[in-house]
Parts: sequence; structure tokens; C-alpha cells
Amino acid sequence: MNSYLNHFQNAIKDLKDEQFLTHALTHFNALLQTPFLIELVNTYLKKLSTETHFYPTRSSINYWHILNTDAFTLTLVRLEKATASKFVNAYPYDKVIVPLTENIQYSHYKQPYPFPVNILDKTKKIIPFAIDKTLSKNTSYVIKKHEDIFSYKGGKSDEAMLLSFSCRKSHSYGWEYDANTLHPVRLVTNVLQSARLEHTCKLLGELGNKSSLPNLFEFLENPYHNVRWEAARAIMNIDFDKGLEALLILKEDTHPDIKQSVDNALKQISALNLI
Amino acid sequence: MQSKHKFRLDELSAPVSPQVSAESSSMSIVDLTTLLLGLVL
Repeated sequence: MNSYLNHFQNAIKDLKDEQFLTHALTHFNALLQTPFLIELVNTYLKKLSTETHFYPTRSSINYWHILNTDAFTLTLVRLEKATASKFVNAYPYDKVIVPLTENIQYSHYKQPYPFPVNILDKTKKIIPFAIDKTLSKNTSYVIKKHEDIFSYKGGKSDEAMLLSFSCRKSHSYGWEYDANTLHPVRLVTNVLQSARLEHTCKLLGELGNKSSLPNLFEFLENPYHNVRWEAARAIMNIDFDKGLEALLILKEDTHPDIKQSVDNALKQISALNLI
Repeated sequence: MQSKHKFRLDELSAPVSPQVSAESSSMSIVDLTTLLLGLVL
């Protein structure tokens, strides 16, 4: 942290999500006019050379969260040309990106009304807005929540560094689209907890011990539909009769994908003469 | 007849994926470290 970042953090700390494209963006553009990043990286270089076990918090080989406030996050991101994506995503929060090391190629799509956001409508299709364009180095580019879809297409080098500034309070979903068909294929959640719960239910199902059943049954009432369904799948993996019980509990679930999945499962079970 | 013990429920028709990095897969980043932390807790 340096004086430029301190000043920026103080300026944005009490702002709300809805002030992102106005107030926060103004402060961000002012920050870009300062040497905050050069100073920061130089400081970290010194720490890395003197502290053997130094590891910046919230970072990995592909990103480094420089700053996290309650509402916003400022991140340095590494993008690899070789992994140009077959999919493009909408975000449930506003974001602005800035290429730092070179000009980059991109395509920009518009997303039709994606609500309710937790129910994927596979008949919808994103609309090409600006295809195969160039975003110049050090230029800010705004990506509006639930509206804009930005697809990175690579740059001159094998990898590029971007600065990303976004809201982080929104706990919601973004839709992911197939870049060829332009139809949605899956939901992407920014609620890490729901993803972790889902994977943990799956793990318990694969381990297959009946002692997990009471715990898993509780997750049939979880607010996240992916967790409810994964709990039912895990229960079914452990014990067929209990799995059937779970299906009956979820038969009138509020999420249409779960209702559909329960109906399909009950039809399969009936066709296989399992009951 | 299929064994009851082998019956598995399908995945949801619209799976939910965690956003595993600062950017999601539209920017071609899957951060394995975060994903594994998500899997292992």
C-alpha cells in the first residue's frame, strides 16, 4: 500500500455499488494518473527479495488483489493468449478494465434481459456489438453488469496484464455463453460459499457413508438451488430409498430446473422398475 | 433391472460454476489454486 492507494481507498470506502460508474470511476481514473502501481510493484519486489516466505494475500499466478474494500476490488490480472476462450461471460456487477502492458484485441456483446438471473434461459442469445476491436494500452473500458459482455481475444505478446476494478458486494449470477452459438450454457456464481457447499455435498456423496445423511438432508433447504440439488444427488448416491425421499421433498421446489430434474428422475426410476 | 444402488441423479440442465478468479472464463482464466481451495475447503 502506498499514499496513492491510501488516498484512493479513503475516497471510495463509503461509496455504494450504484455509485460505481460515477464517483468510483472518477477516483479510479484519477488513480491511473499516478505512479501507484510502479511504486507498489517496486515495494513488493524488495519484500520478495528480503523475505523468503513473503506472499501477497489474495493472489495467485493469474491474479493479485491489490485492494479490497467492502464494496470494491482492484486486481492485477494476467491473461494468456494461448487460452483464448470458447465461452464469454456476463457479470452481476459493474467492472472497468485497463490493459497495462500492450494493446489487446476484444469483442463486445450485449446481453438480452437475463432475469430472473438464477434461471438460465437457453433460448436467449447475445447480440454482437463490437467484434474484433482493439483496446489501447492504458485505456479504461467499462463493462456494465447484466448488459455488457467483454471477450478477450489476445494481444501481440503471449500474455498481457490488465488492471480490473469492480464492485464486489453483488451476490448473484452471471450467465456464460458459448462464443460460437451465442446461447447461454451455464450459470456462474460469485458466491464462493455456494460453490464450496456444492462440492462438499458431492464429496460426501462419493464417500458414500450413511452417517452423512442427516447433514445432507439439511442442505435440501439451502437458499442456493445448486446446493439443494447436489445434496439430493449425494443422498441418492449413498442410499436409494433416502434419495427417493429427497426427491419427494424437492418435487415442488421453487427452481424450475430442480422441478424438471426431479420429474425426469422419477420417470427414469419408474421406467427402470426400481420402485 | 438396474440395481437401486447404481442409480444416479443427473446434473442440472444449467450447471452452476464458481467464479474462480478476478475475471471469469470469458477472459480465459481458471485459477486452479482457488478452485482447489474451493474443492478442499
